[in-house]
Amino acid sequence: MPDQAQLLPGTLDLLILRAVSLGPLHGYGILLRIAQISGQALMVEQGALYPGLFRLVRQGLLKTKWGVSDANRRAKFYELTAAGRKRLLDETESWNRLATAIASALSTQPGEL
Amino acid sequence: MRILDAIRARWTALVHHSAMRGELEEELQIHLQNRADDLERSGMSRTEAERQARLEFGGFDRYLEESDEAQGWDWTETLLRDLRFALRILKKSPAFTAAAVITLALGIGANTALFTLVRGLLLRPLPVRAANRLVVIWDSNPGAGLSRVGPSGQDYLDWREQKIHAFEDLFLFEHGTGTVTGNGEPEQVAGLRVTTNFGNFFGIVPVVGRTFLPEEENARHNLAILSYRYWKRKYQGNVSVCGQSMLLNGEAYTIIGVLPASSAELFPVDVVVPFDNAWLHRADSDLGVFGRLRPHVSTREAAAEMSATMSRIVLQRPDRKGFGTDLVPLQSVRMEYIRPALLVLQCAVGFILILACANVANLMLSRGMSRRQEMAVRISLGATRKQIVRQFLVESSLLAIFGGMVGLLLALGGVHLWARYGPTQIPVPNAASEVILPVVHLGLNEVVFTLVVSLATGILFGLIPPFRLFGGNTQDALKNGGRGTIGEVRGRGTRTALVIVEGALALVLVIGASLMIKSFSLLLSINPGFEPNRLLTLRVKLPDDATDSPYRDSGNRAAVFHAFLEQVRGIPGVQSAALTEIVPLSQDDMDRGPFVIQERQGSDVKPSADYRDVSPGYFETMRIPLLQGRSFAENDDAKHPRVVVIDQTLAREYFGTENALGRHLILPYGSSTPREVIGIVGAVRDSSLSGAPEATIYFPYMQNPNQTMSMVVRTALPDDAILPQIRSAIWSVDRNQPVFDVRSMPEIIGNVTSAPRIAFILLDILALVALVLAAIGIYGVTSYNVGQRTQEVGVRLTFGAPPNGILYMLVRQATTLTLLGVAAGLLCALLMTRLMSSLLYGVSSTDPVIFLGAAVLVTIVASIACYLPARRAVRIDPLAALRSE
Repeated sequence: MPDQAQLLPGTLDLLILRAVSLGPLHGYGILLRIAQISGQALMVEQGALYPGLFRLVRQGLLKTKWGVSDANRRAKFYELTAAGRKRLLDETESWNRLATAIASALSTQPGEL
Repeated sequence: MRILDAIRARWTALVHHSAMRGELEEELQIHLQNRADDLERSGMSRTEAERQARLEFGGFDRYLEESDEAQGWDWTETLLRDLRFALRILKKSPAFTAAAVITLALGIGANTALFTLVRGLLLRPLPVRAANRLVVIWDSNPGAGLSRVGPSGQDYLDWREQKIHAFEDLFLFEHGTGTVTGNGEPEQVAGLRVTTNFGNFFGIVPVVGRTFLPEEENARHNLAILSYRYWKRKYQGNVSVCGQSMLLNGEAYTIIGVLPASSAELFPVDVVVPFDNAWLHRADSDLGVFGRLRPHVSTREAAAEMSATMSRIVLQRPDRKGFGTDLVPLQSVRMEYIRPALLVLQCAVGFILILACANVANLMLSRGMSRRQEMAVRISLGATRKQIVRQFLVESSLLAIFGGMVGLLLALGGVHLWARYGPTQIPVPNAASEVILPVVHLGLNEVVFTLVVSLATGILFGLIPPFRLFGGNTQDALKNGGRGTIGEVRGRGTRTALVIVEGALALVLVIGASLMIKSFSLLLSINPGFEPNRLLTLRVKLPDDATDSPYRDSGNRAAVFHAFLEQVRGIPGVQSAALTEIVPLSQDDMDRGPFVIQERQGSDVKPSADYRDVSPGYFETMRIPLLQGRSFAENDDAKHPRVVVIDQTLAREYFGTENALGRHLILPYGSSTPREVIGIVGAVRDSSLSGAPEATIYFPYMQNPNQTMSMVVRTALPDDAILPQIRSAIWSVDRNQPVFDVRSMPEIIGNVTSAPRIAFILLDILALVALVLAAIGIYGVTSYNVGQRTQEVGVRLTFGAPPNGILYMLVRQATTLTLLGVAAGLLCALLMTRLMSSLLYGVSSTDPVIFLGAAVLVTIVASIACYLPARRAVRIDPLAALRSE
């Protein structure tokens, strides 16, 4: 898959939480949503999504509900729990801090030191 | 809520695993369908789209597995897998498994057995209401040397009248015996006379009928409550027993109720009858009083209030001057005698368990070394440390649980032995009374205890090896094929600690056991002042309750007792027989009081002594030596001048070097007739073997015979051969006269030495077990360490080092550790043996000879355990040793 960035370890959880925070989604929907919100830049290997989802459910960050999808298929929908919402805020903030720090580190010019 | 959600997710996962797995598969399938839909829309054929979707998804089964695991069901299956694996491993090395299981079974079994005893005897509350608020109230008079004397009826009435705030209620009782006639054979039953608040005081719910009513105290009612056991035995548990009449001491009593079986623990009697008011007023001392404290009132507060009350009472009863009270919680005083022994043993079995753990940990550690390769392989194949630790834990817990199961059997055997050979009665210290020990059972609580101990043990020794092993580099382990290289002896620190701990614990137990051995042999060598062997004791009581009883007249009592004696003395095989009010060491009763020496009235010394009524022939039968003067003769009766015999202690304490013979003693009670001292006999240990003999005055019983007397019979015949003859001899005088409390003198001595004897026997066994365990442990560690150094030894030998030099080096290194352990053990023992001081007689709890001797013994045993493997190592062919790596 050209033009697609490798996911950093640990970022899959963050992406899932973010995708679900925009509204309840089923597994395939999450995948599409991640591709969409990352401007098709990030692609999750499809199978790897599910262990990640179940880990988040087990940690109590997501909750599930069976329903019917747009295509009129039975589907399991994922939703953020309160704890999930809080985790998303925390993770976003720490990601941003890290990203800013890395960016500033990388943009430092020799003369600025 | 996160935790709750997580728990719920795991729980549903566990309960609905198969359903969830189906759901999971469905969800993944739906995903594939959705993806295929999208691909189809982009122009693929359906078949191709489905194939492509599947391809993009990656390994379907792998992700299915991973998702499944991520859902949190994994640990049950993992556990099962680990268990199967552990079982296979254990089966593969049966010698190791057997050694570990037996060692653990010893440790766990000893602990379970002791826990059963401690729980059954010390921890379990008495089955009565508010058992933890009941206190025993005794009279005491430190000035007159009296402690723990049973109060009198008047004391009880005074206390009740003073409305002592600390107590909700006070209860008075008197143990006695009664003769039941008119219902089969005449029978002496154990009786209890109680105040009428009996039922309410203990919260007793009768099985049938009712208990006494408080107002029934106001007049004499002949009412009786039966014990459960007696009701079952005599009335076959017939519920219509209430309202029936029974003949007790020749009087008719109406049965009003039956006690529950549980009441027998506190009052092991057959029949309970009430005190009435008149009886309360005339009831003599030596009764029992219990108080029920108000909630949140401490015994100390109650004691303070009691002493204030006593000073008020003295104003009305000047004769009570100098008297105070002793308050002791009922639950603790019952087991006061045996508690120290049990606690010492509890410590000892705890040590054994630690030793067992150390040995098994050591075994596992040695095996862990050889299993390093296996672990390295597993780690390189992706097993996490967590998984390896878990595997070790499962293995060790499995071992511990097997050990626990075998230990449970050992404990069952131990409890059975206790029931068979353990004491059934123990004395209450200084109180001249006894407690019947409840039967202990190994029940569900004990099984749970064993399980918990086993698991804790398993985790304890299971954690040591993996943590020791992770220190190393797994790559090295792979390369070395599991063998260590020179200088790399992993887990050395742990092993060092194990050796030191084992040496120390074994030493503490050996010291404890040696102290007990010395103390117990001293205790057994004590001369009680009489010859206990071949002496049988029994009691007879002349019922005088009925108004027409001939035994109300003291002359008749004297005549009947005399006749009993004559008959028994006539039995062939009876060497001699005599009567006494109280059998020494029997804890039956206490009779003590002040006296005055007529020739020395007005002196400041306030003498007091034990009083004993005895018959002629008593000193000869007991073989109490007559030191001076004469003993009682048949004509020292009511018609002749009052005389007494005193013992050596009294003569020494109050007459010193003066000659006591011919002096006169006056008692403040009854007639103040002076009584001439006609003889001096040897001192007798009366209340306990270890206590000093008390000053004693012997009175000829014929001058005012008691209602109850004990007969002591010296005979060469076995007890069960002579007893029927004694019975029929007594029945030839009075057909309705039961004979009871038949005990041999050695049996009585057995009861008062039971606590030190139990501690003596068990501590010796435990110390031996400890020593063997420690020796095995030290042997194991040394042989492992030496084995690790085989190559080094080979090198040294090749370069010409003398084998003895190497041997010396190896043994010295191992023994140094043991010496550290011995030093630690000595310190530990110094702190711990004082726990035993109440069990020790004639030996200090820090006896230097014993400490030194035990230290030497442990060092020798440990040195042998070090020497054997070291010798094997240096005997090896150097070339073979070099090649061994």
